[in-house]
Amino acid sequence: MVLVKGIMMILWLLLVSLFCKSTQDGNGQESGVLHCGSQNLKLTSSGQMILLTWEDKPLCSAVQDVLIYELEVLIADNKEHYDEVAVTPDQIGSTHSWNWTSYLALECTSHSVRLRSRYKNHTSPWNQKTLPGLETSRAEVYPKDKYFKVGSTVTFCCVLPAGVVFGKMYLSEYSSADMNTTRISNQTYALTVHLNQASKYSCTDVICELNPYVVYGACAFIGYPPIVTDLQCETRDLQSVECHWTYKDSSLPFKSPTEYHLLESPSICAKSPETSCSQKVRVDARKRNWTLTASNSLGEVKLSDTADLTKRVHMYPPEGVTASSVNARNVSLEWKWTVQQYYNLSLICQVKISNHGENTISEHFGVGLNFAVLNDLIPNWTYNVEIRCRTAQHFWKWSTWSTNVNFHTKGDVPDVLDVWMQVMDNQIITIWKVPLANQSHGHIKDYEVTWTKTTERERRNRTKVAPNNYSLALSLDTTVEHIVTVTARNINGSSSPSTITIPSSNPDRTRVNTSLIIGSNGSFNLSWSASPTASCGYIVDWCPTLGKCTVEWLKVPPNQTNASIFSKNFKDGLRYTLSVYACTQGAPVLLQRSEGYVGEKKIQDGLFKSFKGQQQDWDYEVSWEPISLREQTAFIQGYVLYCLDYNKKDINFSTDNPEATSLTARNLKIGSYKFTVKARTAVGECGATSITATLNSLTDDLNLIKTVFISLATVLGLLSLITIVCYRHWTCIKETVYPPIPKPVLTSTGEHGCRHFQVDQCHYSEADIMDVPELYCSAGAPINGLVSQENMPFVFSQTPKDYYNQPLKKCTPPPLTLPSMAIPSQSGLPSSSFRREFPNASYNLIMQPGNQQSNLCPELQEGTSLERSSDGYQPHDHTETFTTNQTEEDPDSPMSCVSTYILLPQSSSR
Amino acid sequence: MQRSRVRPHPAALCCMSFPLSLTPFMSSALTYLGPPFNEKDFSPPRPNSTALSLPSAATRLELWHGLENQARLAQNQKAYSVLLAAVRELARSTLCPALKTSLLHFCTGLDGLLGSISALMTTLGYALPPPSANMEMRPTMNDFAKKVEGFWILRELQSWLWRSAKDFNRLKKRLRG
Repeated sequence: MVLVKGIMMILWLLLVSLFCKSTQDGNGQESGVLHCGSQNLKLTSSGQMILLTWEDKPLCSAVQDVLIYELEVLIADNKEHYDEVAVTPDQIGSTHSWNWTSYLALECTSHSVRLRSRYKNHTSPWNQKTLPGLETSRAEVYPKDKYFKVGSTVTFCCVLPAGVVFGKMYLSEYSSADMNTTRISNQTYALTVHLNQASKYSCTDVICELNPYVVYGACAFIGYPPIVTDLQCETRDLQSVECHWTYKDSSLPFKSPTEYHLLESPSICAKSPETSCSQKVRVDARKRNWTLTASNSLGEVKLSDTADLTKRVHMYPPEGVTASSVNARNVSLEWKWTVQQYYNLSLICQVKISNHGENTISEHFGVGLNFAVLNDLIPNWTYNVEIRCRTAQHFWKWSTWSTNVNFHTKGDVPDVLDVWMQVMDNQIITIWKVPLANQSHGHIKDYEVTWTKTTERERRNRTKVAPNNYSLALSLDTTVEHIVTVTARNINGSSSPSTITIPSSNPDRTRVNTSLIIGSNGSFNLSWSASPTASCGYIVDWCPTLGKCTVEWLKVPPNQTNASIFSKNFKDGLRYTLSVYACTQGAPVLLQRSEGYVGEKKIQDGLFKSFKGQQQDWDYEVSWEPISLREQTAFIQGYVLYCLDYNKKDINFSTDNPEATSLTARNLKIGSYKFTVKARTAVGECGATSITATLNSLTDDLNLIKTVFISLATVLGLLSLITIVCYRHWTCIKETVYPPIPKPVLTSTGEHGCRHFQVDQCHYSEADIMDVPELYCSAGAPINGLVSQENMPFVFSQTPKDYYNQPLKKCTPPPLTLPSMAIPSQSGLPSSSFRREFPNASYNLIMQPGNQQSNLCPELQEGTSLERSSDGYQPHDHTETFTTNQTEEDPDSPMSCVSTYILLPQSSSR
Repeated sequence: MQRSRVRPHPAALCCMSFPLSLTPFMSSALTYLGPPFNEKDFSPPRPNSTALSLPSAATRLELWHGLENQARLAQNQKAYSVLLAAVRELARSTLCPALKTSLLHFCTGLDGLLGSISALMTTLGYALPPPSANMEMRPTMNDFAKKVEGFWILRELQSWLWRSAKDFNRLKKRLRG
């Protein structure tokens, strides 16, 4: 018993000592286990955020230093997050809280938080709380219907009931590259997506597809916080501020429209897509900040504009605009202001007057301006006006235009007519321009024309012209000036008279030089020298140069010496004559005249009429008729002749003379050519006209005749030369050809009755006795004959060029052997009367006078040369010789003789 | 179909010519729902909601033909009254103004059709079915669920319009005959 009591005592002492030990430590910790810890843990959630609250255990009150709480978050039993919360001694005893936002929706799976305290290497046991995930009978996708900013990364989960097989998860409109699916637990799969595009339709669908195919999903609204810029505030009624801004679509137009608040007011001022709102304020002359707050589910934006609203008055347009007093040429307009304060403002108003498509604006000033008078209106004319206003000081903006108001001015007499004259076919045509609707001021009933000589002004002739006629032809005495007056009449009366003086037909007055002009852009730009006589300006009139026309004209003020002439009747390629007149108190005076084209056109091909050509030696001349103005659709600056030969080689010859009517192509060769002539104009070469011709050689008749004459002259010259030479050297020739023969002495009583006489006295010469025939040839009468002397033939031959001195074979008769009978010579007789027949059986040599053509030797071997020689003309070559010595040396060789030579035997006495 | 002893009013017959065209409206509604709802093969589970508590248009043809005129007209009447309420709710909850206008316009046509069926039934001496359950007690639905419901409303509407068009043509022929 004592032993038991002893043991109890020891234990008691031990316990006391232990308690004392623990008390000495003073912190309630023993052996590394902390007794100070958490209690009353509460785990709640808000969205994806978990919120933990706890209290310290009572033992913690003894802690005198910082106490640390360690927290661990477990998602589906997997450690996901660690955190620490430091509690200072003064905080001990209070309720502590900690929150953390999960990347997963809390419905996806269980989220647990465990907590322990730590103090100086001593930790308390874990204290844990869990938020269970959703248990569902069908697949669900979380989070649902949430808003996400473009650019964020979001995790969605698909929670499956037990036994359901997961297929896949995806976001509509996203590619798989942007998505990553992971398995969180048996029933939960997560899809992490980087949201890089806003929702295009109602929402972006997050789809969880099961296996077999069934789909579940959730909506995700992906967009932007409000994007608002360009805030501008103003006042319209001087009682409120009105602000305008621009915004960019946030991609949440229907689900979460942007709401706007002005001046920090809690009430919504506007919702997107509105871009303006107003709020009542006290408008005073000081600068203020005007703040706009724009917010949607993804964020909030504030903008501000600093302005003094009294300098930013944007007026409402005038109301109830009326034309209160309408006259022929002026009208009064009145209107009202819907804002009473406007009547106290200094205002500027613009009145826009629309008049058949033309707008003019007039400005009007005044305090509280509510009327305007419009002047210089056209009578009998419909106008449309609208008005806008602004404050005169501190211009900010014009009001919008008021509603349109129409009014029609009252009628009036017609305006003065624009009258001109035209002289045509000895008639004076007075012509006036058709009054336009804005000139007639009512329907024209007729025109009245009066005329009189300037010298007899009191005697006026008068006639009326129907309203659809705008000219009157008058046959007036053109030697005197006339005054013509025209007035137009409508229901309101007659216009003021328009007068023109018709000049007398003095030719000196119309003598001016005509210059050339080219138009541009469909009009003529005409200028002229100022004339001191042009007291009332100038008149420019124009008409086509050719044919009848109705003259058009333009009146130019005196201080202007140029004009741009335009007419809807102008045609390109038509030549116009433009005349400038000085407007004087009397008749107009012609100052200058121009002709030209408003636009030149290419002249059509085939321009040249009577187009023909002629060869001139090696040249070819083409010619044509002068070109009429009617054919000219452009100024002709010259002509070009193109020669195209068979080698397609083009040669051209040109002239700069526009009046030219021929062109010559020079130094051509034989062959065919196509000759084309074109007119040169500013718009290029045109009006091409062609002719084809063949150039022949010069052996035509004319050339042949020329050649013959030239050749004949040459031959005659040569013959003359030879004759002279022969004459001078006759002695030498005679010695060579006809050596002297001793003079015989005859003593005979022959039959001839010449018994006693001297040779010298005898008529018969030595030659007769020698039986040498004498051949008489006359010039110009070629004789072909054969003469033999001692068996040596003499051949007389007129040979053609290249054929002389050739043997005549077939034609050559046998050598002529004369019988040795004495033939009395007739040398003393004139050759013309000489006629003697030799009684020869073989040959009947007939000696004919020189002027008779010989028929000897009609045939020659070389027929061609013979034929030519028989023509009566045979050209001689200068090399042709007559050599008597040749007969002695070569009896067979022929000897040529010029037919004009007469060989006579010389008397020995000589 | 049994031949009726009472000849219908000509006006009722006239209205039986089918005036509704779903195609353009369907197209704009599916565009608003976006992908995958506007994809051809997409088929989410049919929700078991009040808005779709209507007679199925998928009754087999021979069974449908075996029904009497009254039964078929009653089913038509019931289906369109449920569908009209569903389309009205769809229009109300739709945020897109253009689609809302389009849905409301379609409701007008659907209302006319329902009136025609009622008039025809009355003319033929058939009792009108009781009005459909009130749809105000609907539970809150998430946006995706609304889209699925809207998708099915449109699909049911399309099926019923096809069936009714054939029914009414057949009925018109028989009654005229």
